[in-house]
Amino acid sequence: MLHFFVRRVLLGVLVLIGLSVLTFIITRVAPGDPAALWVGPRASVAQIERATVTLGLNRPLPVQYAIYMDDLAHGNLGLSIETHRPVSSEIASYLPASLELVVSGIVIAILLGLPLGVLAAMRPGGVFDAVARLLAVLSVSVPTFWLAFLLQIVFFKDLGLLPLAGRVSNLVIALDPITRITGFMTVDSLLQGNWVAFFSALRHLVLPAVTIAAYPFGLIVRMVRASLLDVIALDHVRLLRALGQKRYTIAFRYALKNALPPTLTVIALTFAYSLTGTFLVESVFNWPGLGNYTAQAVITNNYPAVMGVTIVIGVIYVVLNLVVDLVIAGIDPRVRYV
Amino acid sequence: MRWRRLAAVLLAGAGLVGLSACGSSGSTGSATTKTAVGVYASYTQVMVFWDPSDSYSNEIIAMPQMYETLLRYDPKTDKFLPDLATSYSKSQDGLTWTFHLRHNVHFHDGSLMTSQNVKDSIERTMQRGNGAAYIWDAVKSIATPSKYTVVFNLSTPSPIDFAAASPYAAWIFNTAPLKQHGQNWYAKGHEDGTGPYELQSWSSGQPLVLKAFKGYWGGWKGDHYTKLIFETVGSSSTRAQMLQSGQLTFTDFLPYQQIEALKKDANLRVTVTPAWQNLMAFFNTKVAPLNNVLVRKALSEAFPYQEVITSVMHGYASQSRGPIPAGLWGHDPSLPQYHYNLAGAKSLLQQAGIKPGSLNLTLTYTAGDDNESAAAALYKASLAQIGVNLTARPMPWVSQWNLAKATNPSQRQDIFMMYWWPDYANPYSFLYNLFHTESTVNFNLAYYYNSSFDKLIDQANTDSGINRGQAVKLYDQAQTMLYQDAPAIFIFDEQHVRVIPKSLKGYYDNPAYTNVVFWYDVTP
Amino acid sequence: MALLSMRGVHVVVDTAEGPRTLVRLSELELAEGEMLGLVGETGSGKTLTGLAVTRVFPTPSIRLQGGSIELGGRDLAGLGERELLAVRGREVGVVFQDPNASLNPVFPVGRPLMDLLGLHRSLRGQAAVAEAVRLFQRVELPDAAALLSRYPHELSGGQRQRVMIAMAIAAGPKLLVADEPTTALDVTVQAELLRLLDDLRREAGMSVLFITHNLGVVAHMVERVAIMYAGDVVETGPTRAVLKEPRHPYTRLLLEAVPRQGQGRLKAIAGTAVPRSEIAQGCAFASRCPFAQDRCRAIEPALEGPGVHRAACLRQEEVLHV
Repeated sequence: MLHFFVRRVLLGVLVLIGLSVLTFIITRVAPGDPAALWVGPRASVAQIERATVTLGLNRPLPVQYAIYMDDLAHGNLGLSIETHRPVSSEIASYLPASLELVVSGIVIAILLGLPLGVLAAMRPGGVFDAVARLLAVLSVSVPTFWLAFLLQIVFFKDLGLLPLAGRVSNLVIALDPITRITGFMTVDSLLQGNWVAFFSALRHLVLPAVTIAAYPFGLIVRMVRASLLDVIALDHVRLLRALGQKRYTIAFRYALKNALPPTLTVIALTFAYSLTGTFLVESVFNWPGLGNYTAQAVITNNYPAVMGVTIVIGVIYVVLNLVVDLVIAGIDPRVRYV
Repeated sequence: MRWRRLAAVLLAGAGLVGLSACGSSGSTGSATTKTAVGVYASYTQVMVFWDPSDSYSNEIIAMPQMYETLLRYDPKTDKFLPDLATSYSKSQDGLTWTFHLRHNVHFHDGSLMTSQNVKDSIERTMQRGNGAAYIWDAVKSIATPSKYTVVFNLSTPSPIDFAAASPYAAWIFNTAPLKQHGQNWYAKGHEDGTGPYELQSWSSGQPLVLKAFKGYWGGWKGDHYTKLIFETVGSSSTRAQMLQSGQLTFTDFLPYQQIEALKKDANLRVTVTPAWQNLMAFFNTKVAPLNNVLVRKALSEAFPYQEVITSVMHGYASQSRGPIPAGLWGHDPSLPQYHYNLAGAKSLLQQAGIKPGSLNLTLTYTAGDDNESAAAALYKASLAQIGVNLTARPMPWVSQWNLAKATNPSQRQDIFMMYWWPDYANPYSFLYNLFHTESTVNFNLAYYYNSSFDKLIDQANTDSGINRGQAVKLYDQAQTMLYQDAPAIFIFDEQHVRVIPKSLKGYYDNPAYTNVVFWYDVTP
Repeated sequence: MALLSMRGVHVVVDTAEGPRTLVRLSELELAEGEMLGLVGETGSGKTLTGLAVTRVFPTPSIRLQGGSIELGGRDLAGLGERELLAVRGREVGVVFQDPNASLNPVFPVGRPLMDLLGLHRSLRGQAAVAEAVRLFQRVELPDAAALLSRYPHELSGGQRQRVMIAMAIAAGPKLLVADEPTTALDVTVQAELLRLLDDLRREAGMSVLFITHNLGVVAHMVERVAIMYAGDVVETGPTRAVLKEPRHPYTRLLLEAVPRQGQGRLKAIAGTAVPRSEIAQGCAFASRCPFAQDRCRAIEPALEGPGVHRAACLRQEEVLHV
C-alpha cells in the first residue's frame, strides 16, 4: 500500500515535470513578446529592451526553464506578465470559483446520472432506458454555450426564476458582503450565517452548474448503463435474483458498486478537464473562473500564468487520479497495488 | 490604453465573448434604502494596475472615483474646472505654472492633503516613468512655496493644465503608506486618494466595490450614489439584458446592433458624443509604388468613406478631416479631405504609370475587430473596380505590429489599419506619435519622415502652453501637409453611443475621460 | 406425494429468426425429501430445466414458454414476476455451478447472506449476524464469525460453494436446485459437499434437484435419476436400476463413457447432440443411435416402461437385452 502510494506520487511528479517542460516550450515558442506586454501600452523600444533583461527573456531557454523550476520548487509561480501580480495569488482568486462551479456540476451530474443509468440498465429497452439514452446523447452533443443561453432564456427571461449571471447579486456585494474564507461563496456565506448571501449565491450557482453538469451527466449515464449491463449478466447477480433479492436492492446496493470503477475514472477526467475547459460557460454566466483566466493568459502569451495554471491543474489531476485509484482499491479488494 | 482595446480584440479574435468577473442581480439605485448602489459593467477587466502612477488602461473607469487631479477638463466649453486646485496661473513665457490648492481636503486614511503631497505624487510618477508619465516631460522642478501652493517650473513651454487634468499619470495620492509598506503597496490592490469613494473590497476576478468616503471635501448632502460596483461582464448580450432588467446603471461598450434593439426600451435613453478616437490606414511610404504621392492620393480617393460610416458604423461616425478627431481642440472642420471618387483615383494611377491589374497590396488589421474587418472588405471591393488587388490580412495585434517593425521595409505591410486615441486632451498625441520622425519604428507606421512637419508640430506643442490660438494655426498647417502628402487614409472619427437608464441623472459623456462616469456628480 | 411436478415445460430462446426451443420436458417429478439426479451432457437442457423453477435464466432472451411447474400443489408457471419473488429463496433455493463467479467480489461474503436473512426472515443487526454465523457453521465453514467479513477471493473454491449453499438454505426452502455444484471443485471437496447436501436434505426434509453431467457422481448419492437428452428426459428410475439395466441407448452409451473410477468427465459419444429445435419429428436421439430404425425417425417415443423405471425408447426391450 505504502509502496503503491509512493510509486504513484513519484510517477505523478514525473508527469508534472514533463508537463512543465512541454508547456514551457510551447508558451515560449508561441509568437508574441512578453516584454512588450510587461511594459504595457505605447512603450518605447528602450523600455521593452529593459523589460527583456528584467524578465530574463534574453537568456537561453533551458536557463530560463531552470530558473522557473527553481522558483517553483520554492512555491513561487512568478509574476503575471499582464498584471505584475503573483500568479499564485491570482490563481488562488479564480480557482475557488471554478471549483465551486465544477464540483456542483459534477455532483448534479452524479446525483442524476447514476440513478438514471442504473434504472436504464435494469430494464434495457424500457421507458427509463429510452429516456436515459436520449438524454445522454443530447447532453453530450448539445453545445454547452447553447444550453447556457437556453437556460438563461427560460429561467431568467421567461420565468424570471433565476438570475442571469454572476456569482452573487450586486446588492449582496454592496450590502451583505461575504468575507472570503474558502472562496466558495455558498460555503463562506453559510459559515458566516449570512443567509441572504447564501441564497443569492445558491441561486446564481444553479444555471451554470446545470450547464456544466450536462456533459458529465451524459457520460455517467452511458458508463453506468453499459457497465451495469455487463455486471447484471454475471452469476453473482443472477444468484441473488434466483434467491429472491429485490431488483432495486440488487441494482443499487450490489451491482452498482461493481459498475463504479470505470465511471469514477471518467468522472475524475471530466473534473480536471472542466476546471479550465469551461471558459464558454464562464463567459456566458460571467463566472470569474479559471477558464477565462487561462484563455486570457494564452491569448496574451502571459506565460507565467499559463505555466501556473498548467501546473496547478496538473497537480489536481494527479491527486485526483491517485484518489480515484485509492477509492477503486477500496471498492474492490482484489485490486492489489502494483 | 491600446492594450485594453487590444485585449478585447484579441479575445474576440479567439472566439471568446470576453473576460470574466462577477455579476449580479438586484436593482440599482434602490429608493427604499438610504444606500444607492451604482453598478458599472465593463466588457473587460477594470482594475489591472492599481498604482496611480502606472495606471494607463481601463482603470480609468474607477480611478476618478478614488483619486482626483488638480483640474478637470471640459472639452465642450474648452475650459478647466477646479478640482484639487481651485485656481491656477501661468507666466508669460509659459515656463512657470502656479496652482492654488483646495483647503481641508483629506486622504482616505484621514491625513490632510497639502502641496507636498502634490509634489510627491507627480515626482514619483515622473521618476517611475511608466504609462503616461511622459506628460510631465517638460517639468524641470516642482516647488511648494506654501502649504496650499504648488509651482511647476518647466524646461520648455508646455500646456501643463492639460497634463494636470489627465486621467493617466496625474492622480494625487498619499505617498506615506509607500514609506511604510513599500513601493508596490498600491500595486497590490490598495488605494489612498482624496476621491469621493474609497475601497470596500476587491480581488482578481472579483468586482471592485467602493463606498462613499465620509470625509470627502464635497460632503454628502443631496442625492448621491453611496456604493459603487465595477464588474466585468464579457458578453455584450448579457450586459444588454442586465441594462434592460435594471441590474446595471452603466456599461462602457455595446455593439451597434444591440443599441438599435435597446433604443426601443422606454426605461433607457441613448446619448451620442464625438469620441476622440479615429480609424486610419497608413501607407508604407518607404516602398514603391506607395512612395509615389500620386498613388497614395489615388488610394485615398478609392476609399468608400460614406459606405463604411453608414453600413459598418451604423452612422455613429463622421469622415475624418486629418488625424485630429472631431471634438478635440485643434480639429478643424474646414480642412480639406479626400472624397470617394473612383474615376479620379483611376486617372491618378494612370498618371503614376500604374497599369490596371498590376498593383497588388496587402493591408493588415487587428484580428477580431469587426469594424476594421468590414471596412477592409469594403475597401477591397472598391479597389477591385480600379484594377487594384488588395489582400486584407487579419493579424493578432502583436504580430501585426511586429510585422510593421520589420527591419527591411519591403517585408512590411503595404497598408496598416489601426485606431488612435489621445492619452489626454492634446492633438500633439496624434501628430507626434503617428507622423513625427522616429529613429526606431514605433507608431509612425506610415514611416513618414518630414523634418518641416516635425518642426511645425513641435513648435505648436510648445506654443500650446502659451498661446493656444497660435498652436491651432500651426496644427492646421501640419494637417494640411498630411493631406497633401497623403501618408495615410483618415477614415472616420468615432462617436460614443451610450445607452443609460433614464433614472441616471446628470450624466455627461466627457470624451476627455473616455468611458468615465463621475459618480459623485450623477444622481440616482 | 410429489413436491415438484413439471409437465410440458417449454423453454425457448428468442433469436432473430424467432423463438427456438431449448427444453421441451414431458414430465419430471420430485418427491418431498427426495434427492433426484438430473443428468445430461452440456446443452441437454438440464440446467435450464432446473432454472425454470425460479424462472431466472442466464439471459433475458431465454424464457419459459409454457407448461406447468407445480410446487407443493401451486403452479409456479402461472405466477407473475412479483409473486415469484416470494417463491425465490423462500420456497426454492438455488446453488450455481461456478463458486468463483457466483459471489460478488466487492462484498464480504456475509453481506448478501445477511441481506437475504433480512429480506426473507426479517432478521437484522445482531440477530442476522448470529443466524449467518449459525448457517456458516451448518455448512461446516471454519471460523464462521470471522469469515463473514472476508471477501470471496480470500476463500477457497469449496468454502465459496459452502457460502452459496448457506445462502440457498437461509430461508429454509422446501426445494434446493443445485446446478452442478461440485463440478468446479476437486475430488475430495466434491465428496464432502455431496455429503453435506445429503445431510441437509435429511435433516430439513428438503428435496434436492441435483443437476450434473457426471453419472458417476450421482451413482452413490441419489435414489433416483433422470437422464436428459436434447431438452427432454429420456429415462428415469431408481438409480440402481438405471445404472444396471439402462433401457435407453443414450443412457447405455453414457454409462460406457463413464471412467472406471466413477469420476471425471464423460467420454465423447459418437456424433453430436442435435439441438431440440432441429428435430422435426421422431426420436431426438435417432441420428446418433445404433438401434435406430425407420419408425424411430417417424414416431416420437413417450416415457414408458415397467413401473417406475421408464424410458422414452421404442426399442427399449431390445436395448435392455443386448
